[in-house]
Amino acid sequence: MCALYQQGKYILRINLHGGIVSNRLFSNREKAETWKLYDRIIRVDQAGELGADRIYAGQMFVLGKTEVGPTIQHMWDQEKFHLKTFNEFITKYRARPTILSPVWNIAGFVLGAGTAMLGKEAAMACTVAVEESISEHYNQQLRTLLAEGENNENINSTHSELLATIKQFRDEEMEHHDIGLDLNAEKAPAFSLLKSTIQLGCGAAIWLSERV
Amino acid sequence: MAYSLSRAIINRHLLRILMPTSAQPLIACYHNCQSTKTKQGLLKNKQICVYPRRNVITSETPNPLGEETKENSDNKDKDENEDFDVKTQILDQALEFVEVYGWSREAISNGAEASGYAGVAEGMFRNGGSDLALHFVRKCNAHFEEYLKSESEKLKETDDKPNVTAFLRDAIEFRLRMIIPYIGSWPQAMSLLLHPNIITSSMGELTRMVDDVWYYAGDTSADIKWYAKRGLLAKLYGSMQLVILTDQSPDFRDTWAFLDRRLSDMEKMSEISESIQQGTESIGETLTAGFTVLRNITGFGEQRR
Repeated sequence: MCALYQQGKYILRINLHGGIVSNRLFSNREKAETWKLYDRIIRVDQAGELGADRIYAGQMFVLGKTEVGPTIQHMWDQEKFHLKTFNEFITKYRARPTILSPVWNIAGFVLGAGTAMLGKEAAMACTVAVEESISEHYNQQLRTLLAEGENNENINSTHSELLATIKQFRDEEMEHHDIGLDLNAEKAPAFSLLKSTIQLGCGAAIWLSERV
Repeated sequence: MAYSLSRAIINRHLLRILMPTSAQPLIACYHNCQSTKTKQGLLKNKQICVYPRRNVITSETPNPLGEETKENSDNKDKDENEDFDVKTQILDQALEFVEVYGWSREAISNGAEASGYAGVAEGMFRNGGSDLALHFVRKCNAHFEEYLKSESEKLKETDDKPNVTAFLRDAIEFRLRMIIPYIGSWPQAMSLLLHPNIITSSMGELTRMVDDVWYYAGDTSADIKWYAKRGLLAKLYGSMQLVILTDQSPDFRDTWAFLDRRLSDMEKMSEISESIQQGTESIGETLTAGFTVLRNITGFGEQRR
């Protein structure tokens, strides 16, 4: 509820909720909302890359000496670079990392090693499921960033670094997805069950990391 | 109805006589009115215009679901900024009166009068003294952030191995010294800041301050260490506040000694935890040493030579 008193040139607007707008870090609402968006995006992406890094570590642990070892190593190196980038973004954009990172650390390793023990095709099925989930998530983020950029033309340019990074990483994740399919992921035992279970888990992890 | 209206008019004139300044909000009069008829009378006289409560919709209300056009939101930002400027000005002035009146509505009221508004403008602040304390904390933290920026430049310029403990020590001392002018009434401020109405804001300020300190100290952690560092520093700052309140030594020497001891403890803890981590990496190898030897002897071992 607001009361407006006007007499001559004195206008005193009183907000009965008495809340003081927190202007310390941001001079207007738009900037504050952008920071919230960035915080969420960077947190969930860093959690995702940490999980992916540990999944490949688990797969290498079991399948490192087999013929798919070099391929997994190559994909793992790319994921390591993704993780390093997002770790730097966390510092740069003052984002908060997710408190569940130890959980994703262990869960990722267990998932990677577990599916690799079911066989090389199962490991590839896990890769396919995770990469598909991550690519879709990155696409969603790109859409959000582009839409936000359109609404506020003056800060569209500052999204460019995050947009370019996410675009590049999404392309690499799609590449991993295609490599997984090429290496007979679909021949894995109970492929569709495995895939949907893992994607459910990924969805839950993404939902949690965005908030916690 | 005529009686209550004339009472309202008389009240208005009384206010004008009693108020030293020319800004005479009738809002206090309006909201002190017990009868709705007087309120309607005031409204009808078009002396004040009141946006209705959210759950009461009449034909005169502006559409609350009106289009949030860019112009609208720009105006809202402008209005919020105006609001913010007025409130900041009042609270800044009110800080001068804290010594006499404590962190209370009286201090804000005097501050309002000192800034040229009516004393009843303290009604703007729903949480009274808590709002004043929160404003002071925000002001200190903003000033603190500028100090941290300049100190972190110096930290980067000097050695290749920056002394983070010294940086933390200087930062915490600087921040604590800011409350020394108000140290007599600081216990009251501390309890006000824990009031349920603003505890989320005051905790938010604490976490932001602690994040600032670690960021400018050069922290780049991105996992659970991020939380550990900030949690430790927040706890340290809390205990330092309590220590400085009971310190009677000249220039608070005992407080700074306490701070030095706590920081050296923290350093030792981090060294110990690092060495434990290194230890655990080799524990796995140590435990499986026997099996590794067997494996190598039988030829099923790894080919590393």
